[in-house]
Amino acid sequence: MGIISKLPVFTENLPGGGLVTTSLNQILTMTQAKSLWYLLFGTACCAIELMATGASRYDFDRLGMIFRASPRQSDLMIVAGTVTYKMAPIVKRLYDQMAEPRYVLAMGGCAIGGGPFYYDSYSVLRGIDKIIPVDVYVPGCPPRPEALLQGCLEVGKKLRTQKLEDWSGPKNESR
Amino acid sequence: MGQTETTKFELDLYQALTEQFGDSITGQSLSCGQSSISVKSEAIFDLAQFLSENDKFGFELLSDICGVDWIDCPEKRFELIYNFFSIAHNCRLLIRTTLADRGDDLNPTIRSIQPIYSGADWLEREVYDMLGIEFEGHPDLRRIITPDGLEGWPHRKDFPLHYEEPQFSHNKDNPPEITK
Amino acid sequence: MTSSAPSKTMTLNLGPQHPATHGVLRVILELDGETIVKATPDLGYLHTGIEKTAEDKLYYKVIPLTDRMDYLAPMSNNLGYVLAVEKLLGIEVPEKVKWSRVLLTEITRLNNHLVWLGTHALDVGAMSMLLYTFRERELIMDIYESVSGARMMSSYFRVGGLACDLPLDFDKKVKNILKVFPERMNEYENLLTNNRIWIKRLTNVGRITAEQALNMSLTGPLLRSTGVSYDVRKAEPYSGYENFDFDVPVGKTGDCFDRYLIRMEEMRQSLRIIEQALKGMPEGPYQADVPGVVLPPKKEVLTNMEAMIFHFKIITEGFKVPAGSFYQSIESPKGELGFYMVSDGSTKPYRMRVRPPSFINLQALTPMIEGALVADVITCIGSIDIVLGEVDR
Repeated sequence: MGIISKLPVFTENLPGGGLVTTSLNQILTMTQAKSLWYLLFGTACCAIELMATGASRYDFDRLGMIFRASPRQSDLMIVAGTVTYKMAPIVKRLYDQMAEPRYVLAMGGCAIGGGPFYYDSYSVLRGIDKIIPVDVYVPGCPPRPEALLQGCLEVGKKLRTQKLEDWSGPKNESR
Repeated sequence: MGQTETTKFELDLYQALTEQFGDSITGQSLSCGQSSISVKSEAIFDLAQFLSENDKFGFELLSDICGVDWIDCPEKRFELIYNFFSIAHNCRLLIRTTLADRGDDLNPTIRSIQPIYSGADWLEREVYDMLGIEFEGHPDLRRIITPDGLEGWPHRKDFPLHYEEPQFSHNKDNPPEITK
Repeated sequence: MTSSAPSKTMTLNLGPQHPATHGVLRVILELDGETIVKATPDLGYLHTGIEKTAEDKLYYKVIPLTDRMDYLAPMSNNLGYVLAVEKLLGIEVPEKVKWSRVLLTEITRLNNHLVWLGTHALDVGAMSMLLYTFRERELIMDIYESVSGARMMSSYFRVGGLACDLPLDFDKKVKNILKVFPERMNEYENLLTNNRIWIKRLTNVGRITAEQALNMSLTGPLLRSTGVSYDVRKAEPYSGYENFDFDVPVGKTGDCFDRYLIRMEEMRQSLRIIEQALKGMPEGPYQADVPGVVLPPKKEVLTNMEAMIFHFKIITEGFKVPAGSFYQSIESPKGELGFYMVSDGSTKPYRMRVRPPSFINLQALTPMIEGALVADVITCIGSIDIVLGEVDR
């Protein structure tokens, strides 16, 4: 009962068992932060580092992060790699298809601000925050897996501050 | 190979090409030990056919088609470099041809060699996409890799590299021009 | 339903967000039931315009851009570029540079084939392969990191030499790879080569003939699987490849299974080359002695005024390359990678044309999958071994 002991809970012993009282908000955010499912969406070089993070040495799964191929089942969108003008509408559509509450992690220089293509390129979008809101930025070209893991933990931290109202979509347009 | 000394095969090849296309060959140049033949643009289809079908000099592989924009000389503005390779004879042959600038409204045209080398399909589409050179007889000449709705031809030297100046507070009211 | 009813086809959109297209490839499929009638690849979702960007960069600043084309084989791309520029400049690099370049590009080939094997097997259904191949890939990433400081984007080769000398524990790390790999390769083969599902999914899928392959300008393992023995390392040796003893594996049938076997054998041959290169690595400087092009050693820069001026001038102004043009091709893990450099005598390339092997090899997708089943599309895409960064550039 490791998780429960950290929560502000009230335990009442009854004959034949017990009853735990806690706030719904606490338990929901806690559990969600421990099972962040991310959208497998790699566009360029960073996707290989994303795969490396998911594979043997770094092992994403121990954070409860499992990739989903469909945006409708994922909580976190890791935009790994360069986003071009041609790709931008698709990134936006994928974001729209995700269910609330949704989080976005911009991985690597290209997703943050164009990266090496910031100057002198006619087709690269200078940062995905021009089209979708970004929660955590992980810099690097590409970032090391350790950096990505740290970024995901930061998403978890941010997630714990969310309120129950955030779970319904239209109210938090301003986020 | 064309990179070291000229082999007998190459000498035979140049001789055969001169016999067959004497009028169309405009020159032979050497750059860093790699020789290339310049031909008139009308002859490129027949030349490709000769190279692909001739038993003696079978060039099986069309390695590459590259387009270069020489903006300073309008008569020979667009240079196309066809890169053939013969696996049997281990010989690379660069064929150069030039096309004149016909203004912004009219694209220069050249005959497609896609019917002979089907590998030229995407290569020619890419050259069309990047330089706006039209290939007559290509079955499916569409833009291939540039973003949808892009106007202009990116690899032409007069195409600007879009350069977005960082927007700081000091130039917010007076943003810089978005050209190179 | 009568037999005279007109058959209707269905259009299916595959990608650009699909986990098995290895990036952002989009293929529009027209289906008649399970059978593919027509396939139209749609490219350009990762078109960054590197060829154009290079025209506005100094020669040495282009090297990091070449990394980002084929990001599974960054050192091969570096090599093709620096060889082309060195040829234009007329620089002859020291023997040690040649040997270490060969060694590192062969390690790169291992890296590329490992990622290919892992993802290809994952797509076809052998999930655990990815975990095994990425375990070995980390050993290679360690080497990259120790030579260049970066895990993936090494930018280690410079015009006229290497960025810095090989690190002290380089031998030890490479020897470890040589020790570990043969055994691990047997492990992969045990898992896959005689696996009935693997064989069923790959044999007779995506067959192409030698005539087709040559006519479509295919190169690399794709061409060799049809029985044509064309390898740039043998045909036009570069960077001292003529000193090494290795075989070029060729296939017979030209199907996906042949390509799998060829790549596995290529990995073994790469190990052979690495072993020879490590054994015969000559002593010497890691840069050519060309002041004005090659940066002076850091120690000189800090103590010698002249060296400092050279350093300053090269970094700020770049170096001039004599006018001319040159086509340099190398055997990247995916096929013939060519750099056609045009110089007008200034400090920036006038035109950099890349002959991308993945882009040209991807043309084979349509003839491979037309008439095949939907499930074979994924097998064929995996088997061609594309990297979208190189396809779109």
